[in-house]
Amino acid sequence: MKLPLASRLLSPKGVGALLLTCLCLAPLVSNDSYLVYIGSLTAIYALAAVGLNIVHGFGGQISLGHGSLVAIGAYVTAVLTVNHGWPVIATLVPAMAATVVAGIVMSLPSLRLSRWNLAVITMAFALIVEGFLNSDQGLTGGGNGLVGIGGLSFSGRPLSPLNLYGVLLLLVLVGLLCSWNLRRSAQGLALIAIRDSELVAQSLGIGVPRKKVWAFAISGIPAGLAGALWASLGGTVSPGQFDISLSVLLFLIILIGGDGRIVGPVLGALVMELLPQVLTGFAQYQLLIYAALLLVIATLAPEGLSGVGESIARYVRRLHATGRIPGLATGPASAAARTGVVASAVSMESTPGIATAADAGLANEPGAQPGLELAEVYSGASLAIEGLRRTFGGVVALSDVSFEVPAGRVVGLIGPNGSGKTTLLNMISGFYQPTAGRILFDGEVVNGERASARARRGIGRTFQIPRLLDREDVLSNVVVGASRLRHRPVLLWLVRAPVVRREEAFYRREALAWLGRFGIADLSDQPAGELSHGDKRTVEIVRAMMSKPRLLLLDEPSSGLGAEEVNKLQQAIAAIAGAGLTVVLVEHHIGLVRRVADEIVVMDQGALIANGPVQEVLTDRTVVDAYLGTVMSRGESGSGDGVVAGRPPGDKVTGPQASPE
Amino acid sequence: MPVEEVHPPSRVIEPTRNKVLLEVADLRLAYGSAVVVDGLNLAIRQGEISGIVGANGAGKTTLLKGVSGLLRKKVGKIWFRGQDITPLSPRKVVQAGIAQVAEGHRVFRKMTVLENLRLGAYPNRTNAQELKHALEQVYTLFPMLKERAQLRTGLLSGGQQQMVAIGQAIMASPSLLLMDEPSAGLAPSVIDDLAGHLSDLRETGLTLLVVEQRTGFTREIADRIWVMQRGSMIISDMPAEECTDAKLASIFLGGSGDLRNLCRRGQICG
Amino acid sequence: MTWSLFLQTLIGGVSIGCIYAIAGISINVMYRPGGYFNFAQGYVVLLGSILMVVLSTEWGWNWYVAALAIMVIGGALGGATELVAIRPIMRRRSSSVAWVITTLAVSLLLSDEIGAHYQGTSTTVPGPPGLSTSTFNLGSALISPYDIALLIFACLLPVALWFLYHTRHGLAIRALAEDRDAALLRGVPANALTSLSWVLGGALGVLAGVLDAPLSPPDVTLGFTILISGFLAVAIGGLGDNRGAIIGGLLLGCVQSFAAIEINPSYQNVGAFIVFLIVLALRPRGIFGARVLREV
Repeated sequence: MKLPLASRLLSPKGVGALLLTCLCLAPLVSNDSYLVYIGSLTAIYALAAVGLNIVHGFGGQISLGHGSLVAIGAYVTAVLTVNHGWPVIATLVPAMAATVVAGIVMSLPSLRLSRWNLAVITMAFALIVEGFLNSDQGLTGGGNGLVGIGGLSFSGRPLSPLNLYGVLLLLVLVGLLCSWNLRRSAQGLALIAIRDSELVAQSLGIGVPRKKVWAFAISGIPAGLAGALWASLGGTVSPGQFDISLSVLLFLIILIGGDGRIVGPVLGALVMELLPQVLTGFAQYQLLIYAALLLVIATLAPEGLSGVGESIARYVRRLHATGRIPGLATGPASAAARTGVVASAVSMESTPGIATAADAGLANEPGAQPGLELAEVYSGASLAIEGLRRTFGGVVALSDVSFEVPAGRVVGLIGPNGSGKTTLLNMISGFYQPTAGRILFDGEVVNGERASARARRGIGRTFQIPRLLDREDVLSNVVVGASRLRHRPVLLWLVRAPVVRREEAFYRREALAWLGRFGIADLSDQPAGELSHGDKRTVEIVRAMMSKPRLLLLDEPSSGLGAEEVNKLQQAIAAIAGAGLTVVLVEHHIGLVRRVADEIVVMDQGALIANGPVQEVLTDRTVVDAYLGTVMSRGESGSGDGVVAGRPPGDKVTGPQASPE
Repeated sequence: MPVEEVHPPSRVIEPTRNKVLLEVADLRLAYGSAVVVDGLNLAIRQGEISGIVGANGAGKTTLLKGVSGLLRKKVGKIWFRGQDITPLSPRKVVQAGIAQVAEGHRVFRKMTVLENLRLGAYPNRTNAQELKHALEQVYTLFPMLKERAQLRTGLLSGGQQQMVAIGQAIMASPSLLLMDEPSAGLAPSVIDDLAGHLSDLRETGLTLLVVEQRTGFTREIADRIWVMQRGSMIISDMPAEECTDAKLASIFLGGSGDLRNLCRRGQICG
Repeated sequence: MTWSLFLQTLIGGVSIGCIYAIAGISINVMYRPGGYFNFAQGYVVLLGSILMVVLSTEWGWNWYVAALAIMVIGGALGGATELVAIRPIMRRRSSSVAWVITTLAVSLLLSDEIGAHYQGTSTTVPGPPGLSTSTFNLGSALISPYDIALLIFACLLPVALWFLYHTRHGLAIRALAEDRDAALLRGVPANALTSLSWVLGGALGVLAGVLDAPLSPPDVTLGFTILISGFLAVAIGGLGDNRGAIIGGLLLGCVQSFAAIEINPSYQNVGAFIVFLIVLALRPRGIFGARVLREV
């Protein structure tokens, strides 16, 4: 639901945007040369920060080496102009190219290491670059750097500082636009998934290491451009300009502006440039204040300034929902009734177009249980487990497990705690590798493949504890499920070509349709972290279905659900199975398994103890024993297994009793 | 040291000959948005072994976490020896006299048996003398631990690790011992030994609250049984003799109510 | 390369390697209980170095007294950092890298303070009484009693810490590191022990600087280089393992030393980095690192 333009302008976001525009235009209007210079510098910082925002804000990867990427861009321009007489404008592309390569090199070592390992490695990279620039190889001018870099010129005519500022402003705008388009692209969603949960990303077929390197590479483009223009603006480059504090500054910029927010880099750069102007009296405390700012923001407001803006906006919307401030429209009543929070009507981060179920023309009354009919037919894959074994240290978690699941069947996997059910599931989905044995998916051995490769084959799964991207809305959480199916190159996304716009609309429609089938379409624009436990589980299942899986692994989906929700879950599983999908269901809720499964596999202490049709298995003596766990040795000696002789089954015992002592 | 006060009358059960040691009233525990324990009432008598059985997801472990202070956000009340321990931190709960043996015989595998035991006594600032005394107690109960005192605990078998875990808890000189699925992952003969040890513990005056999935084992060792399902008690304070196989099976293996096919031990299923 | 040059380079490398090793151990100590360390640790080491110059040379304090006083300051700094930069983060939703940012902020603070008050010096502090830095001939190379003492001290430090980690509180810290929830169940106070570890880490950090002062004048620009070196030493040796830190540190020091002689002083960081990459390619957790299984 779109608000009329006037009320959008008056919202906190609108006012902020207006202010920002004024600030940016001020130097153009006033033509004060100092202001223009400061403005240009700010724009360059903002451009560089756009790159870091992609790596950290979207991708969650910490990089303390982005300052050195800027350095490389700057030095390429410097060397080409000073040593070889190139015009600045011709150096832009080589600068960006070199920086992209540097970004790749910087990120490669850390692929399988933890996040702070990456932080140190990027830092080390920065130090190495600095060392190189400082050394006397005759290329970079050593410690003194290079001087005499020309200004930017178009067809022979140099740009005036004012025009340069205009160009920079334009470039920043383009950068923000590309940022925004990237955020909404399939690749952007994949990065967000990696940021919030690498496990989820892998389970959706996203190749995590490759995407990380990709993010670093892409971020090199604005960083390199910023460096090149920095060199041109200042006319000189020296190693001292690009030491580690530049990387820290860039980090400060995106943190203050809003980590992962589109306008974050601009807001942050503005603050960081204006702050010294404001604080000229406190020049000696400058670094101190930076440090204090950094501490405060990282601790109290990790969302930065634009996050604060959003919080205010959300607060204002909530006031509207309770009717205290008239004037602005509220969201769908059903959503408000359901959750008490007004569904967000305007959000700069969410895409326009189909924003709510209403827009999509999908009416959905809460509480109605639509018949779950899946129009599509899925080609289920068969699964075969042969002699699977897994040890952790000295503990045998799985010993010699073998069974087969023909295509299109539902298998329930049950067993007491510690029986190895979840380990088995994790091995089928590729998160653990077997110590011995084979796993065959549709007849092909898939043992050696990692989780993301298995997911790309068509293995979808849910987790024991629902893992969603808490900060994103439900719709995005569902759309990301289709990651393995989306292959359009990012360039098309950056320009929002019609073909990707159609793809986007297609997947949003499909996601909404799925949500509608499960009766939660009205939750589509809520942040996933705010959902109830049962709804989170449902969203996870819907997300898995979006990838058009051929084998669906469900890990204790009923845990934490009430009776009513279990019923809905049962219908969902039945419908999914009815459409042809192969399902492996790990469960403790025997009633549920009894009703949806074709076969049951029972495990105990890492071994498979029973396997067959539901009724047979559930009445098998060994299974009953495993669950009732009668102490076997005592039982056999005849001292009683606790069953009181003579009591007929079904005898009722009423509540709390005080037994006479 | 907590003072033993006069109990207010229990709201949950009729105290009989033995005093009520631990009482839980209307407890509600949640992980984020998932409510796992809701409206739970419980009362444990001193000197007895009380057993809580329940299928997975019933909230048993969560309940224990709530009692021992690992879960701080609670609605409801918990009293121990008349003292309100609801808001206490785990450290304070241990000092008040409750020790827990976590599920999966969770010991510190990289540390030796002796180090594990010493750790058990950590919050009590015991001097060397008291430490030695407590160790002796543990070694009397589990003689085979004394032989393996310098071994890395990770090298012991599951049953032995379980004993280390129990010993660790006893080192804190508790009045109440909480046990989370002590029989899990143990071979049947070891479970046998375990049952005997728990009996011995009770003889020393310790009160035990054992949480289990294995109902047969629980019936073996417990004096009283509580049955938990989906966050609250569906059967409260039942004397162990009255808890039948059939009743429990109907709870765990599906609500169809048709129990004719349920086989009893030692019989051939028809 | 002549034998005497080789020996000389080796001795120089070992000495600086000891400093890296001690810095690395200070990182290990902080890391143990919670999994965080101080990104400002490079400046902490630097601070120790500078304070040593001030106290020992300019104010004329007794070497050992000065060292002790500086360690107290370092400990206080470590404890304060934990309170301000780590504790508030731990309470909020477990953001995996907020502590990097906050401790980075502390490093900014430190670097600023140091830059404001310290103008740089070219003096090296004399060694402690009895352990002079004047060299004597060992075969064809020059070595000083200080170098020898330093090496012995560095090797004894893990031993001393081993004893520490076997005391009552040390046990508790190891328990916390191995299984936090189980440790909490045993009544282990996580906050107090983490603070204690950071105090100790701060004291050891400045100690590394104090011990470096007789070797070379403190260089303010090396703040982050020291951090990286300390971290690389730890990463090569295996995070959390102090023997590993010694080996990693010595390895790093020697590689740097030889790289500076053979190739180019500016490239000594590259050499260290390459060693790091090679070791981690072979053993992703470091030489003594433990294998950790992921929770799915």
